[in-house]
Amino acid sequence: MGSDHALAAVARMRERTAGLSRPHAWLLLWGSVLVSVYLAILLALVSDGPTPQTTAVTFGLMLPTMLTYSAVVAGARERFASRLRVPGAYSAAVAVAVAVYFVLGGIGIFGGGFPWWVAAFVGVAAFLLLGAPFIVYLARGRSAVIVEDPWRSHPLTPHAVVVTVGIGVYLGLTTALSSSVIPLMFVSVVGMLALSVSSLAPAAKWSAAQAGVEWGRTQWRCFAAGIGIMFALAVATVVAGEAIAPPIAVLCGVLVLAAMVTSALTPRAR
Amino acid sequence: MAHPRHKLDDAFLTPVRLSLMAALPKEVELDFASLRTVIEVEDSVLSKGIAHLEKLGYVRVTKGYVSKRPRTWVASTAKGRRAFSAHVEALRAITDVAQQ
Repeated sequence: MGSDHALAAVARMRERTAGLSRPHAWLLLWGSVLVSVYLAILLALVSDGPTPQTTAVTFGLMLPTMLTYSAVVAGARERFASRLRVPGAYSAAVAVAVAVYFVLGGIGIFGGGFPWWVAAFVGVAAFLLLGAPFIVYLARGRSAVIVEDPWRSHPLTPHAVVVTVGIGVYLGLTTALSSSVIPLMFVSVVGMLALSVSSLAPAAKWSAAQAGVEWGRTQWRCFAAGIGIMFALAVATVVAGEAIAPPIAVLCGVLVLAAMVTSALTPRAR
Repeated sequence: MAHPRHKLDDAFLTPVRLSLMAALPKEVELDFASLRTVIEVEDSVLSKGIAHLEKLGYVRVTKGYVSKRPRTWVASTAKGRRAFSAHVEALRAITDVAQQ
């Protein structure tokens, strides 16, 4: 191979595989938003304001969303042909941030608490730390092209349809019950147990991770909409200092369920 | 001054191994199937290329499972990237010499 041909081949390869693909970067960025909001709300719960009831309702809404997301995204990552390698310095920065977070949590629980804006600041800082690498990727405008349209939606297999509808029922029911603590905690814990069992066997066809492997653009959009509703309710509960009115909670629950059922059946198998 | 060809690394003198190293940027690792697609080679040829570079410490191979299917991840090492950069520099120098 001539040196000019070799250089051209190197350039072609680098163009195709450099960095992450944009869909992959968007997935990771979305995950960093979710985790940042989650961390901020959890910290807000141990700050000065919220009552035990508000705390219970918010936990009941947040934990199912995060557990479901973690289970499903484990499968979704497999739609991409590349894995991000994190530099040691970045891992060290995340470890320091986690330590600071736990210290703040300790101050909130055992110390005198802190104003709510500290939690908001932590949420923004967490997003900058976790999401910054992906924002940089997306801003560069470059994209590795290894898999053509990894988010393409295909009709789900019957197992994935059942699991997706099951996730919809779980999240919808949790949302609908967010006005009453005891039923909410009961449903929340039962679902969390089911997801925990499912995560023990990620290769099983009934697992949430396997559904995640099949989820395409449609399913993720509907899931994002459902989680967005639940996060909004959690934030509203913390801000209002009391549980959401039952009719609003039920309406939101129906919307979450409808979004997930729609995603399970779209696109239709021919 | 020595001709730049003396700085070429034997490990990258085959098109497959050259392409393989070029396809492995620092920040990501790729799976075997994707490398096969990107480089457009048979499994056996790619396997040999990876094994050769792995023996030299230029790439690192990690095996795992996706669903029930085994998946092989390949990443470049710092040593491999340094050697590859030097090789590409030598190629550029050769091209420059040829154009003079």
